[in-house]
Amino acid sequence: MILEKLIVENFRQFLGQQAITFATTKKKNITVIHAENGFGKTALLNAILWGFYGQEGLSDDFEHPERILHESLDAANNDDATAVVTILFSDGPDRYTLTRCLSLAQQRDDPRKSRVTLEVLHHGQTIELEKPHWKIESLLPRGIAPFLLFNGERIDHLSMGRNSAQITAAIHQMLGLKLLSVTIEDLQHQNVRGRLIRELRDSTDEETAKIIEREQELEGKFATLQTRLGACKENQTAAIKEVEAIDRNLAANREARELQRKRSNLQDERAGITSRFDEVTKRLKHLVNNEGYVLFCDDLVKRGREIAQRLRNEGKLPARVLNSFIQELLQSGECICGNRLQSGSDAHKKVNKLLVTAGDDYFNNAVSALDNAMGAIKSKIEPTNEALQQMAKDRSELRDQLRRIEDDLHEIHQQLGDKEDAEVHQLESKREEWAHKQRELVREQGAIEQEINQLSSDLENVKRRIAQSQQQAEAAAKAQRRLWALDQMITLLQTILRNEMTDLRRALNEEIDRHFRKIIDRAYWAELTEDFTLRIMKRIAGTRGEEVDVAMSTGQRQITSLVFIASLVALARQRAELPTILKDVEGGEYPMVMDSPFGQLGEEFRTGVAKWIPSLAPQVVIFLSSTQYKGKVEEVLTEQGRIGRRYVLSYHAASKREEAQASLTIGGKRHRIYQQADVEHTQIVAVED
Amino acid sequence: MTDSPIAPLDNSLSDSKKLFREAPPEIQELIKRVLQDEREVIHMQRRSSIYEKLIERIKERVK
Repeated sequence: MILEKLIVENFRQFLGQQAITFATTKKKNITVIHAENGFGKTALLNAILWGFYGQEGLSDDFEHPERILHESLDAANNDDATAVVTILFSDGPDRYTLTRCLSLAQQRDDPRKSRVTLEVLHHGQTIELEKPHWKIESLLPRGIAPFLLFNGERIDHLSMGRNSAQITAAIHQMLGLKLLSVTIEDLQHQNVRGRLIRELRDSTDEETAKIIEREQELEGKFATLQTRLGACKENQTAAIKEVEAIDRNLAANREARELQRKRSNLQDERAGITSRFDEVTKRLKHLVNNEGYVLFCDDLVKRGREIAQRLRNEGKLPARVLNSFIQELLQSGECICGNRLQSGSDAHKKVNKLLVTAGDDYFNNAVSALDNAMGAIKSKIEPTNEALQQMAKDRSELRDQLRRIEDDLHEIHQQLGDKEDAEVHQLESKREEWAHKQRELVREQGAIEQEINQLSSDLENVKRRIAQSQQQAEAAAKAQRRLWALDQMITLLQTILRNEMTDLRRALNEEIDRHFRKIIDRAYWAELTEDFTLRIMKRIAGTRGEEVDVAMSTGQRQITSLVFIASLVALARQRAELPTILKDVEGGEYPMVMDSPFGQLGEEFRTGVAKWIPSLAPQVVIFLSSTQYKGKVEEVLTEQGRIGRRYVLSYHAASKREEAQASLTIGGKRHRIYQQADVEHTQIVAVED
Repeated sequence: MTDSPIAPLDNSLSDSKKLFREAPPEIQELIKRVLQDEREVIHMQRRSSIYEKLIERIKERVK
């Protein structure tokens, strides 16, 4: 999908009808919209979201979502006044015109009920689609909208572990795998698989029917547990978000700011140490599993060697000489010391006696292997012991550090809780409640996962029994064949989905890392893990390649999230051109509409983001304030020559924010972007480069 | 649309193709039909009729 034009009419501060034509060419794919904070950037981004999805699509930071019409129209009480957003866009060869409108009367009654129409120009014919929502959902699913139309200052959460589900869903949707995952879910549904199982049970003997019933019961429990697990994870995410929102409020409060900053630093530090602790624990487990036994073998090896020696002395174990060698000496009639070995002589008798104690090749090899094994075990004891002790020491130190951090965090909690300021006190108390809830949920998740493991094993046993005792009667066989076919389909689709996800994750991983390294000038690397968590890693100096997560700053998290989205958009576009296994399992072209993508970034990162992100997506729309644009961003965007269209939002009101500029200079030309007026409104003004 | 510096995907995606082709023809055909049915309703909010359709597909193909 490529955005071609946006027409807004009476939408929030955009009074009257105004339009933006987006840049759509290959070389010039950027549309820049300059606006100071408070001049209408968020409203314009939300005009697009509202156009596509209505009130449900508006972003969280869009205040008063129930007020869509310009406030002067509301005050004038003209019920016929209407807010309209029209979006013209293309998808492949088809061109669409989407129109959403809301009258003042409807806004007062129920602002969620806006009217939407969607026309498509297909092979020269214009058709109005009967179900516009379905088509919108298929062209730009709501689930991926937050990845494509977003406030750059608020996307850093994507690079936090808890958002892996959101990332997986975005990959599914943008890379065309949703059809596969939904089909698998439907085939597994009680109304499909459950029904075939019931038919099988009805056509089999009593004993098998009972086992099948048991299987269904276990599957039911399994599904319930999976649902509970999903809900538990969602609740955890919600609890974390609540804590974060409270943290933001505390950070904004003068009384709490300093302590909250300390807490935030300590939490970052805790995340880093926890990651190192987990890494050491992982290595420790590996060592204990593979080499741990040697620590208990010291006495055994000693005893083994004593026994071997005793048996050797008693002649029950061969000396380390081969009897084939002794036989050769006897046949040659001469010993290696030069003595003659005449038959019947003392020397001959002595050498001949060695034949008893010298083993044959096989026996000797076995004895030699035993000697080697005991030697190898012995040689491992000391290094294993040392490594274990070192790791135990490391863990203990890390645990101490974690304990100290927990103490400090507790102290901060106490200090904030004891503050006289009522707001701080209340926020801290609420925070503690949510943090407690979150800890409870983590415990609950562990318990559910344990139950799921047990249940999986029970289910496996039952399935084995069913397979063993299945009747071959005609009806049962038919029911069995159908169930078998269904299970074959499910398994194959699951394998294909897993394969595609693995391949795409790898491709995406490479892209993310490649672009991430261009933007971040440190020895870090980005990784999309198997469970679809975005991580930034580094190697710890002075260790044997120990890798840990970087405790990321907000700016670094923002870059990581931006790089992820841009890489995903680029990969989706590339996948759209690839022939895939099944028709319609493919990606597509998507625009990126970014409000303030440079907001939290330091100067050193702005260059990389301005340079690389626009080159990855087929179309980019950027909303920028003057402070974000000045300097490196302006330099890089101008140098690249990718800006195809440019607009400024000119604000008309009685007053403006103090920090907002009244004029803006672009390409040497000065533009007035603030004018005093009685009725507050914003005008979209095209700028010729 | 863009002169993106992205590296091309390798041929690894054909693993899925191979797997699909190795499946019994009956299963391949069923999957194609089932995906066709799903494609028509995937964007609907209510899609309860799909279950009946999936059962029908399996019964008409597996006698």
